[in-house]
Amino acid sequence: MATRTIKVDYLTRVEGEGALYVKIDGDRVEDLQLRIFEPPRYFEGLLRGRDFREAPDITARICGICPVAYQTSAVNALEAAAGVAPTPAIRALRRLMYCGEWIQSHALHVYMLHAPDFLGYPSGMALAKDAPDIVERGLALKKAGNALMAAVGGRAVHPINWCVGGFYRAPERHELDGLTDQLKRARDIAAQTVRWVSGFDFPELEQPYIFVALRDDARYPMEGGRIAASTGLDIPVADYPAHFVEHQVPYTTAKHAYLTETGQPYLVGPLARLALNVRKLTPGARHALAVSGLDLPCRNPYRSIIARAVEILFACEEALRLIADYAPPNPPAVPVPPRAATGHGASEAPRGLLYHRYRMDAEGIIQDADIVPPTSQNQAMIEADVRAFIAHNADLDDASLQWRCEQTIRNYDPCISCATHFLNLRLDRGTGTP
Amino acid sequence: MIALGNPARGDDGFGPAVLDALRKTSPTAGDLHRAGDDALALLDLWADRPWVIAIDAADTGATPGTHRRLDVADGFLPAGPARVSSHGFGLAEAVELGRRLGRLPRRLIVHSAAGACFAAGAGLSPAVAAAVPSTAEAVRRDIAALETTAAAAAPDA
Repeated sequence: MATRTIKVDYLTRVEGEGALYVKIDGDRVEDLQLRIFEPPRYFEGLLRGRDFREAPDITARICGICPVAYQTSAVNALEAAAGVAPTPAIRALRRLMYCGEWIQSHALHVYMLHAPDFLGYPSGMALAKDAPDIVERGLALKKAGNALMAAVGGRAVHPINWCVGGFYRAPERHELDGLTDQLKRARDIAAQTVRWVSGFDFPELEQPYIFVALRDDARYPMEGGRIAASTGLDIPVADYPAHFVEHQVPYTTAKHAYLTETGQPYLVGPLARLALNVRKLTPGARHALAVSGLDLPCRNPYRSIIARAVEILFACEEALRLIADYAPPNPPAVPVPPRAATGHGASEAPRGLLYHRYRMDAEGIIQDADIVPPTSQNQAMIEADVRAFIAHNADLDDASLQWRCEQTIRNYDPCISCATHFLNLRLDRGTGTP
Repeated sequence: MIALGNPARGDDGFGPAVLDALRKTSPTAGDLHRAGDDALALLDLWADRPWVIAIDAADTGATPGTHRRLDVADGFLPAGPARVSSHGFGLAEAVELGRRLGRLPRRLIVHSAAGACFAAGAGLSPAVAAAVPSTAEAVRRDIAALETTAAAAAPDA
């Protein structure tokens, strides 16, 4: 039977640069490699020897889309190492800013990067030509998220107001009150977004996911919590290294991640968060989810766009609640004296669980660091999804198969800059030049 | 006037360098902005402006330092690899998206210089650094001409 190769040299509509190579024999995938080919960025190395108070600002530069996630996981880990807990008011302000990041990141992905796949457009730009009103909705959502990040963090990209222990400055009430109308409009657009994406046609695919996400007794997970999995696992973040293992594979500069006990890949991100935490959603988000027809746990990766839209709505509602309840934390930060210790921290980046570990000495100098971003954790699962899709759809012509392979990868909103960088697809059916 | 680019990425710092030159030599030039990494924010930054001048480095393969002036009303910006922008979204994409959404300033002029090296920490290459003063001067001339035109078009007080 003929073999063929699909090659995509630069995958578009993902953050960063990478490639996909697939070799197919009939309906059997002989080889499949998701190649993240940009060089490593050595963030863990350059953190060594730095003062622990620098970690949030240094790690924020890993990603321009999800800097708050890096800042949050870093301060969680360093405060745990120091044995200091921030006040509830500080934690609430962190959560508010995290809402802004979810809104802007999810809106960009849903409208500009992922929706074109379902509507038959090559790009968000092409969609804007035929449906400018739709793209305007996405831009309005993104703008609301950016405004929230700027109000709390000082600027929308790489915010500068975070510190270990809290914030350099707490915004005044009136500074946040000014966002309320914009967030209410965003909330309405988000509800409309859930209805819109729920009507898309979704390719058939069911995957045996193991869902992994943070879990918090009181809230939908965002700025902290315990680590839970659909296997029944429920552990403090400090136990992450005992249950999850990273593995270097030769064709990619990002590591794969597996469950230590079974060696299985796992899924992080919106579908995992919803599967493990649906009852913690805000009322409007819960209602929108029910109307959307998304049954949980959802094991169809293409429907992650619905989960992402539901989370935009949740983040708008949550931000409005936090602003209504807001009282500036006073003081804006608690003292965090260094001590020789190791700390673990995690938070829910838009793309999923983000884990940090730091070991510092008695003077607060970082001795070593470990950062495990969500796209790294999802990498093995992305490959499994593409492999499964091809196995069921090998009769598609090359162009259609390539489109679907890229769409399958975009289900994850992969952030290659974080993982380290990402995409280019080669589909090899052995019939032509690879 | 909006300067785009990241000074930490070699010749991508061309726009900010021109902005700095304008601030030094024309401190009253007024409405000068540094665009951040989010090119989508340009749509808001230039919304409702009668005219905007954008300055950016270009990766065109032309001789490094080659200056180009383009009135967006006259043609399309060549889209290319927006190497430092998230999701490959740069000035050219922002202009085209603005055109499709009806969110361009009434007049948009782009000044660019062809870059040679966009490596992290490389600084401006000599040819691109040499293009900074002449580009700043060209921008000053554009500002003067546009202000004159705007004043002439304004209704009498």
